[in-house]
Amino acid sequence: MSTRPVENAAVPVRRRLGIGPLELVVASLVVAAVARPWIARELARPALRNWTTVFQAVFLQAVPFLVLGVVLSGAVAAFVPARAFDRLERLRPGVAVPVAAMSGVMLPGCECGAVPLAGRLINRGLHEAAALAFLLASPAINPVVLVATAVAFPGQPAMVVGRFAASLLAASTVGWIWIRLGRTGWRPRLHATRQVEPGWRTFAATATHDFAHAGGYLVVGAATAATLQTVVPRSVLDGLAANVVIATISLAVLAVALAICSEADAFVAAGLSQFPLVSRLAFLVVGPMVDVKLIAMQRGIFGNRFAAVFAPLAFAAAVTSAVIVGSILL
Amino acid sequence: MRPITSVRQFDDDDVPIAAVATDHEHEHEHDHDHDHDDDRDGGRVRAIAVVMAVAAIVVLRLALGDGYKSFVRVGMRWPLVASAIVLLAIIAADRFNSRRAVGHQEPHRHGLRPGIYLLIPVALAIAVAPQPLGSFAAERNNVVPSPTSPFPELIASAGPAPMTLLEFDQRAIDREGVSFGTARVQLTGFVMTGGSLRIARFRVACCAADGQAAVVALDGVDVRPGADQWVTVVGTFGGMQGDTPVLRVTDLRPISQPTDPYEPA
Repeated sequence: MSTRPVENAAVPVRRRLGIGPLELVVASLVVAAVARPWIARELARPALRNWTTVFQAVFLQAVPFLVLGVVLSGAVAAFVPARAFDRLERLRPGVAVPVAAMSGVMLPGCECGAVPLAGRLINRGLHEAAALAFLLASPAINPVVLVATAVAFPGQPAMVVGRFAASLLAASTVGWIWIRLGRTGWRPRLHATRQVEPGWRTFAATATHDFAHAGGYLVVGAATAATLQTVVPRSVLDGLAANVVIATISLAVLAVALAICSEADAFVAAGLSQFPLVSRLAFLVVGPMVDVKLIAMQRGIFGNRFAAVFAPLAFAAAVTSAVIVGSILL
Repeated sequence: MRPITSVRQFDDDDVPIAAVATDHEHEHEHDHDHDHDDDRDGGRVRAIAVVMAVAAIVVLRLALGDGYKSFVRVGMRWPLVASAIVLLAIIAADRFNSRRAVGHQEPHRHGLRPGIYLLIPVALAIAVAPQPLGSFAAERNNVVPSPTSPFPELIASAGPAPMTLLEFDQRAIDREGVSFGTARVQLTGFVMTGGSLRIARFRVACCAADGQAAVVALDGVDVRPGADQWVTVVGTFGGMQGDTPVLRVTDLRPISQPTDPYEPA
């Protein structure tokens, strides 16, 4: 609110000139087109070129999954009756959480689409803890991701089983802790939306809204990941691989920083062959649950205070589950 | 009916539900603003709808040309095309609906604001031609996984065998390169910077963010093409130079960038 006087002062000038937001958007696109030679020369510097490539790659890769996600979230808002989850609700919350996590198997895709969808499921009356367990589990345990993991680790089915089990365990644990947090009053409140009339109008409005939100924050996350990939060489990791504890923490942090799609992270983990398998399992469990791109998107959909509690909680649960499951299976 | 816990559309102010439920003053002030700034908010909504639509068109253009191949796997073409068309349809339908909506029946739409960030990828796509990962990244990310099974021997009498850099490197690891024999192979990659002459090519599993390069050192070449110049080379396996397998080059030709700059992972 403190910026409002400045804004108000600026408005008449812009109004007098007939410049609205739309004109500013068009103007910036024209500038981008006209300054092409200059921008191309600047971005030819190797580091900037690398940043641009990684940024555009992360963004482009996420678009189909994000569109799938907002179409599903629009459908949930428009066509799922408000009492649809009553049956799940009748289960004790402690049981509903793992059931919701398991049902993540049904959403084929990576993590970008799950964020707006989880927001809408909560809006339709699904228990918050259950929706969050679904949000955490689905990008890691769906068939597409498990097949990719099996392809990346040929002859090591324990990695696939371990990823599935550790992701389910971590997602359910976060859900259960979330229920506890609710009782202590420590749980941050989520943003929520107006209850709306069902129908196609709501479908289009919700999908548009969710794409603007999640897509905007996807851009922020992709920029962060591109910056980290350009500034921090992966070779700094080489010295960290020897000690299993340090290696596991390093790869968990790396998963947060790289923000690689869950359908591809197994191939990167396979390439990190200097690291122990348990550490690489932690990389595969943490990545789909917490990364710089997801944190940005969750801030956008659920609010800052939510992300500040949820991301560290999910990170701790994911690392712990990966270590427990990994030490049994691998 | 289940009691409705919230009556507000997403808002950019970071106000949780509890605050909204009790903070009537804020809510009132907000509505007041909205009445006055209808014109401006409408403009902002239109502007963000335009940004999203242009973003969809940019995705469509990259996917229908060769541009997308610099960023994601070739198999992503049709998912990208489909999602861009769906996105355009949704935005158009929403615009159409809200034009017909009367006055305040339309839900608040402040929450669209983060969509303005989409201007960044849109402006980048307009300003620079798509560029794949290059020598900068190849210097940093170049892990070659060990081969899972032994390679069959190459036949020396046949013409030069086209091969991925990954296969060349894996054959070099496999029994110290015995599977090469004296056969000639043909490799395509881009020139790396600094040190001795080396070429590299990335393999990408999903998008360029996960790219890992395979690197081959070239021996017996007098010319020195500039960094990131693409070349096709023919030669025979020439042992190792440190950790990097060597190709003893008999022929080197500069080429333009292949339409798919990556090797499949």
